[in-house]
Amino acid sequence: MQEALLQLITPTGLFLIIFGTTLGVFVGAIPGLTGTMLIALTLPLTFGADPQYAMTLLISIYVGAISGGMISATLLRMPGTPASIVTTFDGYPMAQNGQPERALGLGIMASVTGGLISWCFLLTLAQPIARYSKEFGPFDYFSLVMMALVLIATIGGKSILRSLLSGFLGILLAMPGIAVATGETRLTFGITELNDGFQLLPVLIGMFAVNQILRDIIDSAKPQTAKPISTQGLALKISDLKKHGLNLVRSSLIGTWIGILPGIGANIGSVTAYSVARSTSRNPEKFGTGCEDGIVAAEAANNATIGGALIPLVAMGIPGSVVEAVLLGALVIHGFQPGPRLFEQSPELVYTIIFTCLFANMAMAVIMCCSIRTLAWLTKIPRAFLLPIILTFCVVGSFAMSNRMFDVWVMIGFGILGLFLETKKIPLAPFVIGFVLGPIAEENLSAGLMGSGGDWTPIFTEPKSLAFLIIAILLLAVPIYRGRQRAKRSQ
Amino acid sequence: MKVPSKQSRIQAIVFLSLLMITVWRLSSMISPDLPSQFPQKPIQIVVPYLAGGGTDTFARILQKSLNHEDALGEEFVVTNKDGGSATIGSRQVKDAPPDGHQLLCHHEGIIATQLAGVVDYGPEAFRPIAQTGSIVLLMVVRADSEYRNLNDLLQAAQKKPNTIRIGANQGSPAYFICKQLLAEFPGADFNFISAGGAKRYTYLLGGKLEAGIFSLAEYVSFRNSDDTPENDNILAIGNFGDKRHPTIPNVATSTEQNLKTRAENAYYIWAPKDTPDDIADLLARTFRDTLKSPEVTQELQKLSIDPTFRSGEELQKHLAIRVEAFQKISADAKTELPNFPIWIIGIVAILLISVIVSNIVTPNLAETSSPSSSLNNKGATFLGVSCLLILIAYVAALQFKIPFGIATPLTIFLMGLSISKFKRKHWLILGIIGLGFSLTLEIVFTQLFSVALP
Repeated sequence: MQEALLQLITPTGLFLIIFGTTLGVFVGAIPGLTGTMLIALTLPLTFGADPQYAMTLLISIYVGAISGGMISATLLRMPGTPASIVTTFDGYPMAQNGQPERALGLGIMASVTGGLISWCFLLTLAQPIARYSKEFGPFDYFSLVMMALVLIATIGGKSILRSLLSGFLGILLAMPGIAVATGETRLTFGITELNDGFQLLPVLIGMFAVNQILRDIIDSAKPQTAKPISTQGLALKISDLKKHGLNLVRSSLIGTWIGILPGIGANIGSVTAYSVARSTSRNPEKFGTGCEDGIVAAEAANNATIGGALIPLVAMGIPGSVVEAVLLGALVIHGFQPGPRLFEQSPELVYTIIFTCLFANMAMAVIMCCSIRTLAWLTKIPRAFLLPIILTFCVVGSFAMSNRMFDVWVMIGFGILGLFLETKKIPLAPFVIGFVLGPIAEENLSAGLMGSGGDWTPIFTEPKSLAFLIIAILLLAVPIYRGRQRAKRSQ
Repeated sequence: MKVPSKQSRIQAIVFLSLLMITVWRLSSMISPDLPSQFPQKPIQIVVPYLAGGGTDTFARILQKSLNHEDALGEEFVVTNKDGGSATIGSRQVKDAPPDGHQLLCHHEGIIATQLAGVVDYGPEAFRPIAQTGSIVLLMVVRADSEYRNLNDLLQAAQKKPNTIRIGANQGSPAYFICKQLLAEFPGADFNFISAGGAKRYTYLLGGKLEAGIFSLAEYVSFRNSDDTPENDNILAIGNFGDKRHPTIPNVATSTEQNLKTRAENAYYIWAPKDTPDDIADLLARTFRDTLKSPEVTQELQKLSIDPTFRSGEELQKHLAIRVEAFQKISADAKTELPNFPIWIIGIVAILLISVIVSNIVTPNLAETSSPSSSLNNKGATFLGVSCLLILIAYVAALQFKIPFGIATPLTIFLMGLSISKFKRKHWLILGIIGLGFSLTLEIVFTQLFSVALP
């Protein structure tokens, strides 16, 4: 442990952390480019390097990218990474209401808290916690996903019907391709490129970035009604920490805990934390309109999932997300044997990973705070310069993920679809949640049903599964019930 | 006439120098296309999986050594084209020009996807260059399992069909092995549960599966130290290879257990079907030399991959045997799963109709909520549509192989101009941004990350 620490606080170690985090923040903030892509592209460059330094660089990028995604999500409503979709729900409205710096400030505070809380678990309890992921069966996973999926009914609009339509449309459009359970292709209509379905990244870039760019272009042709931007700076006070303390801790715990479960990853962590924050809030109707609690919940949870997802990686050699799978590959290439004995065999490497996680979180906070002024300036660049550049990034990003032009066309198609849905007052948030979670739900439900011989009852008889379902129903019902009560009272 | 200001003069100089760099780069790209020696340009090894996966790691080990030895005088570049059970990448190489510059690194999943009906082509659609390694496959149970060998497991599956839960995705090589085993025990059947990679391992530990098939590499990394409690560790009960493996000498082979089923997986290098003999031979020799280098042997040993090499006639024969072994088994998937797509389509249709109906009944919700709907301004809509068309034209240009360095600056320039309503003072700046930006992107991607841009 000391050796690992000593190696990290050498000039090279610190340089790599700062360099990696900065790069991550920067790339994460560009719509169209993601941390996963950057890590996958950087990986081959690290082959010749010292393995500990290589991991330091890669993990710093990971932490930076997840946090950096918040910037474009808040300022431009273009989530830089899938993990920051939820941040757009409240971050963008808040920035539009003239408080971009405040929104970013809250996001940074939440990110750091989330990162640190999950880090504590990673350091102290990695071994025992990782063991618990094996207790989960397919039905448990399914119900867990349902917990997050119910959000499609409640988020992003006044009409539940429209939200549901959007959500199910998302689930439907995630279906073409090879069915995980049966290995058969479906809904591809003979288009071989569709064998792989619509990829998340081009769909996300299309729905949000391309759609938003087209919208901005259209708006730029109209007389501007610019809102005054408050220059109160970060405006974070100790009282903020107190005000959001409970939410911070709760969302961080949810993020850590969900991050541990393999294959569930950062997306569902922030969705669930957001959903819980909304349901326990006294003003659930404020969510989606620029609510501070929403930003805090989303950002605390998505940073916490990093620490959480590193737990099974470090303790059992199981990747929790796509990025982790790449990191795992990096370990293998550097000659390590990731698995339950990694800690025993190469403790110095494990401690390097753990402490990089800590330092990168701190570096991220400093970098983000320093650059916030510059970032808010981003919104002042003439649109004529900014928008074409972002659009090029989107094209390159969609392409570079799997080197296919097909993905770029998918991006454009979903951009047009997004624009169309929004003009028909159908919210996009449920669509994306359905698109991301639908396949995970289906995969686990299928595995469960295959195991039970087509019997559905285990969903209700397995204790964990039942508990998650009950929570899902509560998450759905409580805000509706409270809304009704409020309406009654105000009458 | 107005004298140009100092600022715009600087801008003009920057613009011109960027333009010159771009032209210079483009002209160096269009080199005369003479049918000369192979290779003329970097050789792409397409990996049909994500970076960091098993196949990717394997390919990169070969690549490192190939480039280190500078075997053919040109770089080898690994490109990841994942998705569609590896068929996205395999199809690309199948359809590539047969000049040896695009190769596929893939294992026997290429046979399985054909038989499972995912794609209509298999090994016969390629020219196999070489087998470059073989992977031992094992049947693995939880260490405290009552099944101590393959016969135990299969007899149980025979006595009580469908009760033994096996983690294997339908249509995967693991699934085919299980089917082969079951064929030896009439009436026996497994309950197949789709669970890939790490999930198979956690499910096994958590008692959600009775057994699963792992590669030796997976087994070696997931197997915990011997003093771990037995309910928290895994144990191999059968090796499907020819002989016992030195890493796990205690695990008996299936042949030793009086079973006929034998299986292994192997990595192959594939080229497009009509690749000429001389190029194929040259590539085969290059891969053989690399595989024999001590550097690669050592790396592969760490991954528990045996450096088996086959090429030419021998390889053809081997593949024929492997394909036959797969074909013997019917890959029909028995699925009692609900038809999810139909359900979801039904729900979407119902919701769509309800939304439309509610729109007709209470139309005010849809239209009045936002008086300044963004699409009601004609000029603005026109601008939006034209920018969309520029974008589509840009992507189409890239699709038809117009160089990135030309299409990108043009797009940025045109779109920026339309947005700024053709302001004169923006012309130069946009030109600079367009050229500078596309140059930077191109250099970062092609030089630093060695990824080809569209």
